[in-house]
Amino acid sequence: MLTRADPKLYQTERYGNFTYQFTVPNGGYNVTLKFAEFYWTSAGKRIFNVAINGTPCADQL
Amino acid sequence: MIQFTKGSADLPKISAIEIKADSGIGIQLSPTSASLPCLAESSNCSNGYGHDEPWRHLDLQPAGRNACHFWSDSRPLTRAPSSITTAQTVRVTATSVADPTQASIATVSLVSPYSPIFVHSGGAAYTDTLAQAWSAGCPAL
Repeated sequence: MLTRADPKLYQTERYGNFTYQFTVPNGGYNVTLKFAEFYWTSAGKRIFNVAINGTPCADQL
Repeated sequence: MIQFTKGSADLPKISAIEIKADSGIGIQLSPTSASLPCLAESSNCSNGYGHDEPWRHLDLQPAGRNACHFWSDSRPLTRAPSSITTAQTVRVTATSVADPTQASIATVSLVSPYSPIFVHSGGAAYTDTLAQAWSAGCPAL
């Protein structure tokens, strides 16, 4: 995190099963999801799924 | 709608979401790998889409002709170097000026130029095209 240009972004988080909904004009968009893991210290401890408009974009991330 | 659901371990968590309108610009290098002898130049390296952008036709010739920059790692690459001591592979990245987030990478192997070597038969002496005489013999035992 120290090497990120925006480290403060990663000092907070939302945890749980949740959904975001944004209203945007029709068109193509690039969505960047920004994560930081500072609870678990080994791989495989947090595995989840992400879908955009119902289409899976990350399975077992 | 962006939905986060539990997978096989723990619950999801996220710090931020960034949404940017797609510029509609893409860039693609073709071929994605090539071998160039020294002094050679590569052409037809890239195709863009989404705009009538000037970088639709790119090559590895000197910068300024194209609205697209080429890098060989961190160094501008305009052509294969005139000489190299060993064969090497460089990475060429083409990045859109209009949308710098759009880039494409190709791998170029640089090889030394070579001249064919002929072995002539027909005698122990040979005169080449430059009128240089060559001879062959056995070392004294």
